[in-house]
Order: sequence, then structure tokens, then C-alpha cells
Amino acid sequence: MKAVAEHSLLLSTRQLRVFTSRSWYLVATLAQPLIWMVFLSGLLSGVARLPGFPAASYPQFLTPGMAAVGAMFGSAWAGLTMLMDLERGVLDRLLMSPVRRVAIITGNLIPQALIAVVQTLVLLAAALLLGVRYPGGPVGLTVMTAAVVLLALTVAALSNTLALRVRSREVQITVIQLLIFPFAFLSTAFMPEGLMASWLPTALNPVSWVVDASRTALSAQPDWPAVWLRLGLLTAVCTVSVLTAVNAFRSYQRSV
Amino acid sequence: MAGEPRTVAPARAAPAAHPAAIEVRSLVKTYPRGVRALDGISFSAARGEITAVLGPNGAGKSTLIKAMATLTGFDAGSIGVDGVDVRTRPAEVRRRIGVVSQSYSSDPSATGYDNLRLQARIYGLRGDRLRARLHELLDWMDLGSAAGRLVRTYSGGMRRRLELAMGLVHEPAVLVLDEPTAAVDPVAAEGLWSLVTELCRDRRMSVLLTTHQLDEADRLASWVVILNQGAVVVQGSPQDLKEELSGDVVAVRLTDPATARQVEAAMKRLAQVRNVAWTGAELRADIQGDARALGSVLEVLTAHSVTGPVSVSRPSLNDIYFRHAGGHR
Ligand SMILES: Nc1ncnc2c1ncn2[C@@H]1O[C@H](COP(=O)(O)OP(=O)(O)OP(=O)(O)O)[C@@H](O)[C@H]1O
Ligand SMILES: [Mg+2]
Repeated sequence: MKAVAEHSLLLSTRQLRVFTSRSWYLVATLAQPLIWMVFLSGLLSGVARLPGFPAASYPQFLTPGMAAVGAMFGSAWAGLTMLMDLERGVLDRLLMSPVRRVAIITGNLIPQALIAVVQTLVLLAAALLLGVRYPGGPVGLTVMTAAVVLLALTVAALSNTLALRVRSREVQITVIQLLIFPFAFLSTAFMPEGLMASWLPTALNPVSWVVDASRTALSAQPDWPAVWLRLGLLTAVCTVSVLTAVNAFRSYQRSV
Repeated sequence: MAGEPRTVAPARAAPAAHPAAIEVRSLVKTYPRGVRALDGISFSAARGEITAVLGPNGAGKSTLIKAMATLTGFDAGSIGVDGVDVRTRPAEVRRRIGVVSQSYSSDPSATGYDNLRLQARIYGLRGDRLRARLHELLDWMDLGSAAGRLVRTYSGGMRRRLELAMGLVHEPAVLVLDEPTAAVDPVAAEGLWSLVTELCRDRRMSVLLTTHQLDEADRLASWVVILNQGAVVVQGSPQDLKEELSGDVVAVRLTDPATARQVEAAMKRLAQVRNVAWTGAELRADIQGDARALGSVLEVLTAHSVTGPVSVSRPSLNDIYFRHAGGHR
């Protein structure tokens, strides 16, 4: 256990270097959800006037959704880092060393989680300027950050699994592009459930779990059972995703 | 090239108290799409010595190394590294083996120092011991002044030396080198080999290497294993292998394909010619017997009006290699 933690830390430090050595990359990563936030708020401002809209303003409604979608968009590309290591032989070297398999995955995931946290905090601060308020206070903000981190870890782990199985950048990019938009728009991130066609499977979407848990936790009267249920689901999905990613090394090692 | 693998000298049995550096038994490996890369290989590499694995492209050398380094699994057989079974105790094998792969495995976007440092930290080195070890290795590999540069700015030879340093960081009992001199100039190769020989001698490190440079194997290795199409075709000490070819080798360049075919056929009909092999356009015939045997070979050449230069020499490891690992036109 100690070795796993130590190795995860070593490998995540290595990946975070990309951000510290290229500050424009960091700025672009953090700015992306802010840009979306501003233009979606303009684009969909009328939605807030529709009967049955559950929030005072569209930005107020959008903030948790933007945090979730931003984390998904960012961490979906985590597999490309794994692919790069694979192509450069770095992964083979790690697999021949005493590093535990799970540490290779967590070493790739931890940076994604950290980026998701910073991205969320920047977004929350920026949203204040748009008049968004957080009646749920620090507890609500913590719940939201935790949910976002679980989503980032899940998505990054699935992206790693895909990378280890397909081992091709082209396929990886195509599949990720194909998946992230449906998951973003078929969730409660941008539209309240009541305003969408009822056949859309939004409730099965982990992005919705993050958004719904965050919205209620940030409200003045949180529905705690609903929060716990979604955090529990997110934890379960996250665990399964990480284990699947670790298991993908097996299929990779059969083919090297 | 089917049939039983032959051992020219009696296979050396290691006493139980000192297991061989590497013990490979009936190893079979098939890749997912059905390529049988290793087809029942057995050999053992002695402790504190250099063992060379030779074979043409695609013979299975790299696959063998990946299997012993725990990177890739195998279907049947067993491998012991420093007395530890690869299948049942892979984690322990990883601590005892140092691997320098055929292709690069350092991170080009990090500095040489950072690459080496990460590798050392993975094996648990830290603090003063870590610094001392990195210093020693960088010094050894003559990379001290380049350590702070990104690896992508290194020359091929520098990069190879860094890879070697990374393989040595944890002072492995067994060092495995997959074609380490492939992209290295002759002077640097010489330096690399004197270092490896020194490690073998002074630190009792065991080394297994693959190479296409037959003279390297001849000079450095105490045991040579020749692979072809996933099987061991012959193994033995370089001396034993050369003694096996007791006669002379006649080499002649034949550029005209028609003459080449006729000469080859005529040579094969001679009782004194044991084997005919091609190195490009050069025909090499192993001949057995005294001067009369040589005479009849020369008669064949005269009969086909071959006028090019002809040489007669003692067999080299090359001849053993071409004889066993193909080279037939
Ligand atoms: N990852 C892989 N997937 C499928 N087949 C492979 C893979 N790697 C190697 N092979 C096949 O296995 C056989 C042995 O390859 P290997 O790389 O071990 O040869 P080698 O002796 O190292 O050759 P070289 O001298 O060219 O390095 C070849 O037929 C090769 O095509
Ligand atoms: Mg090879």
C-alpha cells in the first residue's frame, strides 16, 4: 500500500510537469469551462424565463453543470498521455519495473483530479461575478468538488482503458469525440429534466449524478438522501472504472 | 531448420546452490494473431558470464527478452532469473533483472537526469544514496554534462548510454541487453563492452545480450545460443562452435546468377563439401579434408570459368551462423 502511494505520487509528479513547464496549456485548460459558461449563459438566457425553470438565473443553474462537463472534457483525453507513454516505450519500462499496475493508472489519474479541482474552483469564483450564489455554503461546495473529482477519475480511467485496448491515437480521438458530446448534452447540465423529452436517459448518465448532487447540495435545503445516493453511485462507477483500467494491462501485455 | 536443437559441448549443469543466471526451459510463446515467436526454447546462462543470443531478424530474440523481463506472458515452459521463477514471482524477478530494450524507453520530454532519477526512485533509492548512484552512473556513461538537457536533444549514442544507465540503476544481478550496439559507433561500442565486461568481472553481474555483430559475440561471450524461427538451432562456447567446423572455408564472389546456380549445384555434389551458404553474392563452402579436397573445389570453379578472387580461411562464427540460421539463396 505504501509502495502504491509512493509510486502513484512519483508518476503523477512526472505528468504534472507538462503543466508547469507549459503555462499556456494550463491557462487553456482552466479557461475552457469559463468560455463555455459565458457563451452558454448568453445563448440560453431565455430558458430561465420558462415556466418550471428551477433556478433564479441561467448561470445559477449552469454552474454545477459546467463544472461536471468541464471535468469530463478535460479528463477524457487522459488516455492520450498513456498512449504517448506506450508509444515511447516508457510504459514497457514501467511494466518491467517494480511499480504496481494500479500505481501506473493512479499516477495518470491524480493529475486529472487535481486539474478538475482547480478548474472547479476557478469556475466557482468566476460564477460569483455573474451573480451566482451558493446557499449550501462550504459543505455544498465540498460535495460538488468531490462529485466532480469522482467523475474526472471515472472518465480518465475509462479513457486509459480505451487507450490500452485500441492502442491507436486516431481511434482514441474518434471514440472520445463521439462519446463526450452525448454525455454532456444528454445530462441535466444544460437543461432541467422537466424541459427535456422524457425518453432521454438522463438519469443513467453519471454527468447528471454529479450535477444533481451538486445542485441540491448547493441549495438552501439540500436533499441529503439524493446527494448520498449519487455520490455512492459515482464512487461505485469510479472504482469499477479504475479496476477495468488496471485490468487492461493484461490485454496489453499479451500483445507486446 | 527443424529438428532437435544441438548442443555442441555438454550443457553445463549449475549446482543447485548456485542457480543459473537465466534458466529457460521449453519456452513457447504465441502472439495473439497466431505468430509463434518462441517454439520450445531451452538454454541456461551461467552466473557472472556473458551469454550471447544470435539470430536473424524475427528469430525471437526480443520476444525472449520480454518474456524473461516479465513484460510479456508465455504459453508454456518456464524461465528462472537468478533462481526466481518468472511466472510465480514476477515482482521479485523485476528487482533482480535490469533491461535495456532494443527500442528506446526513456521519456524524450524529460531531462536525462529526471529520467534516471525516476527510475532510481522506483527502485527505492533516495537521499544521499540516490544522488551518489546517479552521479556514479552519469559519470560512467559520460553523460554528466548533458544530464540537465532534454533527452530529445541527445544523439543516438547518448540516448543508448542513458538507457544503459537506467537498466543498471538498481545494480541488477542479471543484465539483459537487446542489441545495445545497434546504433552506436565502433569506439562507443568498445567503451560499452569494456564497461559490461568490467561489471561482469568485478561485480559478478551476469549478462545476456543479443547482437547481430558476430565478432562481438565471439569476443565477449562464453556461451552462444543461435536462434532461428523461434527455436535454438545450436548452442555452445564460441570455441566449441568453431571447432565443429574443422575444415576450411572457401569463399568466392559470384555475381552472375546462372553461374552461381551451377557452381552451387556442382559444389553440393562434392563429397568433401559439407555445406554451402550465401552471404549476399558471396558463396561460402565448408570443406572437409586435406589439400585434395581444396583442389577439387578449385576445379569446379575453373570448370565454370570463375575468375573472381577466391579466399580460403578457417571457419569463423559467421560460418556457423550462416550455416544454422539460414543464408541459403
Ligand atoms: N507485438 C507483436 N505482435 C505480434 N507479433 C510479434 C510481435 N512482436 C514480435 N512479433 C513476431 O514475433 C517474431 C519474433 O520477433 P522478435 O521481435 O522477437 O524478433 P527478433 O529476433 O528480436 O528480431 P530483430 O533482430 O529484428 O530484432 C516475429 O515473427 C515478429 O513478427
Ligand atoms: Mg529484436
